[in-house]
Amino acid sequence: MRYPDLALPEALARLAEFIGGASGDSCAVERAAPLTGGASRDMWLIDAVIGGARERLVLRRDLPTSMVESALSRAQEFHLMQLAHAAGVRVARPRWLCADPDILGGPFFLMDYVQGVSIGRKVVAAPDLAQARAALPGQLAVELAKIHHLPVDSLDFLARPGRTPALDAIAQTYAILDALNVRNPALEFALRWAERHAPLPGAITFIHGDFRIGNLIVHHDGLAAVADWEFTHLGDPDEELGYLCMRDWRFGGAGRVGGIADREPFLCAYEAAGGRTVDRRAVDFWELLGNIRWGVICLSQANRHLSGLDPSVELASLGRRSAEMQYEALRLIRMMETTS
Amino acid sequence: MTVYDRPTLEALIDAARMHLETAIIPAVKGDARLYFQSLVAANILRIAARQASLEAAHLQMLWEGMNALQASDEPFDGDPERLRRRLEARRADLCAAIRAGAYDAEDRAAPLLDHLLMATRLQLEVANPKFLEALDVEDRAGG
Repeated sequence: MRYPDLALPEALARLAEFIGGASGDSCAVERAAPLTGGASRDMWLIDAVIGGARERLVLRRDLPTSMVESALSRAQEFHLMQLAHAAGVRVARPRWLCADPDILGGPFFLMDYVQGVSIGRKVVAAPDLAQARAALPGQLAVELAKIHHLPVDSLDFLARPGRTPALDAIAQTYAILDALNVRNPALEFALRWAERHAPLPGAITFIHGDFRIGNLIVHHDGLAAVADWEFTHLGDPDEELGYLCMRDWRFGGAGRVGGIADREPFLCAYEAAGGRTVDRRAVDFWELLGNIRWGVICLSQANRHLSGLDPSVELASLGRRSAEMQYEALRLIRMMETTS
Repeated sequence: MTVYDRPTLEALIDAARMHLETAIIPAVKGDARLYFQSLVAANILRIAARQASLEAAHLQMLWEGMNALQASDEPFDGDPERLRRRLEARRADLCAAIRAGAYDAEDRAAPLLDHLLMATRLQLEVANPKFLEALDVEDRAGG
């Protein structure tokens, strides 16, 4: 078996041997329990005794087939998390990377376990997180400003925009639609509109790439850690602000920013933290484009089921969720047309 | 009167959904993944039942919307399968025209946007009527 179940005793023994070698301490792994995540994640909660001290860790492993081609490898993700951690971004401390696929069937890394809630629906609505919700908007503004200031010169493996970040993203989305052979007038119109109203290229910075409520670990005082660094790329920082505003990440909450905050005070807090002036119109644009792309990805996920490649009731259902993003995209266009 | 005995298509789908909701879902609560997948499966059956009851009317509404957009009077008659194929071809033609820039001008774009909002509402009436309802409430509140 090339891709072993981590809970098997022999896998735990191999993991203990790896941690022992990497840490230079004695190590016994007591338990590995799967963490529920999205369909693309292979994550495990690890209880270990390292050098006599009890430690709780999280293991992230490369899947044999990657769900999204643009996703980074575990080694790249580990490197970026180290960079972010060293710069003081709230992120789980990355511990050890294993590039050898023979240990656990694929490359993996370990990081510190961070206690908290990472279910977006709960973060937006749970009564016992009211205090966290009050603190989060300011904390997110500060973290995003820090992330957008991370040094990018050494990150050769990150894709750099060819024309402009917006036009690149639009071209990629057209390519996915055409590869799927989808003829959807709402998506066509929204893409065409986006192409004709794309913002001029601005700053190119480090972008987390999937910065939304469901990818944060939240405790009672607010943000504990920013998770899921596998879609990091270089791009327009306004992309990340617009993405965070997408309706599907609001979980029914009232604020445009992740269902927890109004947009204007949030953008002002971000500007105060980072010193960069935000183009509101560009943030609108990226919220629109985020909806278009997520609407197209829903169709491409359904296609993985329909093609027989990856039979799954969840993937099948995503096909019919696309209309939500299409409708939101059309509403945003209408809003931008009336306020231009 | 139809070719088939009872239950109707909607009633068949509902029977399977009821089984999932009353027998399967409560029994798999301990397995987070299976529980979630079963909820998704039940929701898929809700979508299918709504489509079974609404599709004929939606087909005609989309057809008429397409006629209005394109100043056409192509009649809505013939067997449903032919109409469905013809509508798919008209949608593909519309996509090509949009991509070629035929709807860029404001006097062309505005009626197209109205048409697409209507067409997407039809999709949501089947896929997620609660989502549509919540947005309508928000829009009425002046959002």
